[in-house]
Amino acid sequence: MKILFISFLALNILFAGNYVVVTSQNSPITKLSKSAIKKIYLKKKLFYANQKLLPINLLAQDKIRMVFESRVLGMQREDINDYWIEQHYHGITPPITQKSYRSLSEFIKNVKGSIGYLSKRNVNKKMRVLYEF
Amino acid sequence: MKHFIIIFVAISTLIYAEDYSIGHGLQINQNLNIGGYFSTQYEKSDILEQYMFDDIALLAYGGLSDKLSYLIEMEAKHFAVRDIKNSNTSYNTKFHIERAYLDYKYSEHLSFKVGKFITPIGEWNLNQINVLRDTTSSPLYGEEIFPKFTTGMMLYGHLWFDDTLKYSLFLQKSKDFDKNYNNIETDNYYGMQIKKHFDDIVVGLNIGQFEYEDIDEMTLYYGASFRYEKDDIQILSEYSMSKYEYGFGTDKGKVHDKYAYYIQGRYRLNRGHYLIGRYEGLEDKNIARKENISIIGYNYRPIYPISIKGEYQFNSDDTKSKFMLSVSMLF
Repeated sequence: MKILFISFLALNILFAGNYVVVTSQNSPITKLSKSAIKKIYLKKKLFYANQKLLPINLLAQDKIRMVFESRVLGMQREDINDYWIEQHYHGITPPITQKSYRSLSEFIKNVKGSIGYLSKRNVNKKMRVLYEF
Repeated sequence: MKHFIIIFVAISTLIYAEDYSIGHGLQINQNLNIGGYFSTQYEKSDILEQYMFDDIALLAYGGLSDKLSYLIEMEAKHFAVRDIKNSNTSYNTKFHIERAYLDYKYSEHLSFKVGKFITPIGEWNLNQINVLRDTTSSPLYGEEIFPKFTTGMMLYGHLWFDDTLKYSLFLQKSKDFDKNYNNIETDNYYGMQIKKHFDDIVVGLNIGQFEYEDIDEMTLYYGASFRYEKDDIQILSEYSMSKYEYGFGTDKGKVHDKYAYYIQGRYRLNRGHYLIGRYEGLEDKNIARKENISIIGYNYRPIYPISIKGEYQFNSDDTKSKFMLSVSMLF
């Protein structure tokens, strides 16, 4: 557990500011605060103006997801799991998952209101950066 | 027996499904997720000793469009109860509707719920199942003052000028879908709640009025809730007061007051181990009932969707003091 924590801390320091939360250039969303992103990913905030939001996660073992959860959500994986177990009783499911940043990019390009996170170097012209972490 | 086999098959199907992870249900597709829960309980006091397979329930929910979703929950309460003192066992294998609703999310500020849903009051009432709570017993507060479920419609959302303020307005103008598991039978019920979310604190105020089914008496209740959660500490507290005016007989016009409250503290010793203390009270002035209970309990979660709890209740009426133990699971 200690080794995991130290590796995680090292990852955080090493890759600080290298990742971004993005949406489509066609999206009405222009900027989001860290707390708004957290609410969106916990499905406590569902709309931006009148646009229904669709947060997307990468796979559970993905390094970027681990950094996103630590740095933006400010939660440990176990606490996130516990949270979604409680939401299951209320009929609320976790964000959908995409297997790679390529499929995430395609999803963001094609689905209005979708939001995802990836490495800064994978941002393309069809994406709008909402937050850096 | 037929019901037991259906449940056994349903649970087995879930647990052995490829994409299943315990406590998260099984997602068949975007339109259908299935899951459920069960709990078993042992209770011993001077007047009672019993073991029961208390709750067993199946859940189905999903999205019908990007804004419309549904949820159905069928439950059998007191599925099997063994009275150890009198050496007899009773069964209730009939499933009833605990919740069944459509939910339409129009915007951040306005959503609708239609059907039978949990009455949006305070903190305790929102999680109706053993496994999501920290004690096997519920405070008297949650059982005596207001109907736990509403069959009707609800409007809810965040207020447009402050997204940390959440409101709920609800209305019932018919009989319950299935009144078996509601604590108070009503066919006329309305109320509202407003909750303010701070960083680690949530405070709520609620007010409502209901009429007992077939009795022409309106009961007004109002209350407040408080929740604090940070690091390893959680504090919950709620207070509610009700008044009803007799509508007939020699007591016509008399007002009946009742109030209940609790304060509960939980400390996480380390992951999966929780120590709980609760103090609660209830006073019903009309029947001169006054009860205070102090509870000390322990909740062990080997994994979050499995809860093994023990508690001892010190009741102001000694004969009601008791020990309770339960094992529950969300699947």
